[in-house]
Amino acid sequence: MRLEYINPFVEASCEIIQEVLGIEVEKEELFLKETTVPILGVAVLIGLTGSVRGRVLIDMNIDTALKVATVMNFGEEFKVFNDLAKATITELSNMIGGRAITELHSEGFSFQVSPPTIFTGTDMEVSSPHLEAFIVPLKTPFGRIEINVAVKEREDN
Amino acid sequence: MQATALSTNQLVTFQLENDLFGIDIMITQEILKMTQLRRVPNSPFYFEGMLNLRGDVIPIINFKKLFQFGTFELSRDKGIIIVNIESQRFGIVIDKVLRVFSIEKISINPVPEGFPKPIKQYLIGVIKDQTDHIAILDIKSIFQMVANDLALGDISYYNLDFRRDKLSNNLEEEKIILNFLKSINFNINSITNIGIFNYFSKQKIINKTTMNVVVKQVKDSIENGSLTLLNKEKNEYFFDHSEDYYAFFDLFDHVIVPRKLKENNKNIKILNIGCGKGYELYSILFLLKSFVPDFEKWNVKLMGIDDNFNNLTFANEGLYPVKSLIKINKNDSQKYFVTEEGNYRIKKDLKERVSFRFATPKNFESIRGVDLIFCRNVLSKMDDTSINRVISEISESLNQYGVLLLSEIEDLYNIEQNLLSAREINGHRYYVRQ
Repeated sequence: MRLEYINPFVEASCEIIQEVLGIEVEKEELFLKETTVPILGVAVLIGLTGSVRGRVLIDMNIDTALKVATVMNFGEEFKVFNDLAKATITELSNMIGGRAITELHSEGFSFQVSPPTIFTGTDMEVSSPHLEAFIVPLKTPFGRIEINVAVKEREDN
Repeated sequence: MQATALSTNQLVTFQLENDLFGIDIMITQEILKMTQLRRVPNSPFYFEGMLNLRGDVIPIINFKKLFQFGTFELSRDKGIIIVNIESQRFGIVIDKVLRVFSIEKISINPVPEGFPKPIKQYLIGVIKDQTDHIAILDIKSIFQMVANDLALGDISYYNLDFRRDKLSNNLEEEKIILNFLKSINFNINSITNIGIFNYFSKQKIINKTTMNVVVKQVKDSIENGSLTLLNKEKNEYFFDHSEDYYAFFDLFDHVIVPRKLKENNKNIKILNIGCGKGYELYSILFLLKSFVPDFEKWNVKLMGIDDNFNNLTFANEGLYPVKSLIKINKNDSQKYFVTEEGNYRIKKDLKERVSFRFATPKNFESIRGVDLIFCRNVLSKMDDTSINRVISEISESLNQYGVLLLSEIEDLYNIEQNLLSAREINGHRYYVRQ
């Protein structure tokens, strides 16, 4: 994957989480993963079309998601992952996706994003056969958040 | 004392590579041209097979393999000397038979010090020809050893594959083993580094017992500190292994350029798999800039892929410390770099020709139509399944006439695959799509 595509996602994830949640984010080393990735518990999927086709998956476990939802709803404590909590996590993901796309646009790549879809549950896997996927693991006080980006690049000449 | 091993004063002399050897004429039965040998599975590495000689089956031994020198290929111009020791017959593969040489026993000199021990124990002595030396082989003790090997039944030599053995999971250990082998004067010819491990596995040189001894001694040596770890950072400079770059340039100049000129196509796409911090990739670029006539007129694009994001970011930044320029002279460095606070930044016109991708060697599907892939020391660290996936990705990625170059010390010799086939240019091996 082109480095130009990667950095906007890395930057956007760190910035949004820091700004919105007001917590320190430690970026761990990026790695590549192919085929199947297990889902931590709550995953938001955003589709990408345009210069490349693919998807962004923002993934965390349920505890982390509940903490994130609490902070984003001005301290309202969540015991269960209800609709409001879901909407909140979706919104966070949308912000990350949106910031990354904006950055990519400013570098001359054109992208459109699909509305986010949220998946919850344990013991799930997500597969994108034949796609190159990279993962940005973020360490936060709320727990681990993973930004998983898989795209199919056009052949370049 | 040893001289008594000769029963006559006549020797049959023959040549192996450039060295002359002699054996007692009384044990020599006949000399044949090389014919078809019947191979025997699970036999020692120096055992070429069986020869059917007028109804008798005779085992054939290759001394070059036994003593580890020269090339091992059997070809029609080789010969076989049949020797008869106490009515046991063996054949020896030779390059060339010379003549019968008369000697006085008195002129046999003892084997000089400094001969490697593995060979020394099978020599009776050395005699001086007018111009050269002839080493007299102690055929009897050689065949005793061979007969022991065969009789022991321990001929299922351990197919030592360092590369896929857990021993070689990291470079340090490979180097330790290599150093150890050097320290015991193991004859490794010119094969170095990873090559030696492939080489061992191919030739099945080390048997299981030897291997266990080697492993134990290596471990002991590490424990008592007599072997030191080599610094892994050592190769962090441009043009780190010049032979590979000669090979690269020969391939570029003699294979890629003529084809492109013929097609009147100025676009050349080069891919460096496992580019790491970019030393390889930029070295190639410097090489091309300095030695390709009208380099500016060619649209040469270089791509590097690696699965270490940090290294890749470093490469993409293109800012290098002065110590990485040790092999680049001052004039050249001004062609390639601009200085920046004591560091060296790749010049913009060069940087524009380069791009980096975050990808594994197993999957770089967006990179297609490549003319030349340069992939050093990547395959040698992988298991079979991974190697095959990488090869299949490489063959997809190459264009119709595309070529693959590995490092000088690697090859695909013992990898079962039917996508790439080997060619040679100026002694450098490369691979094309089948």
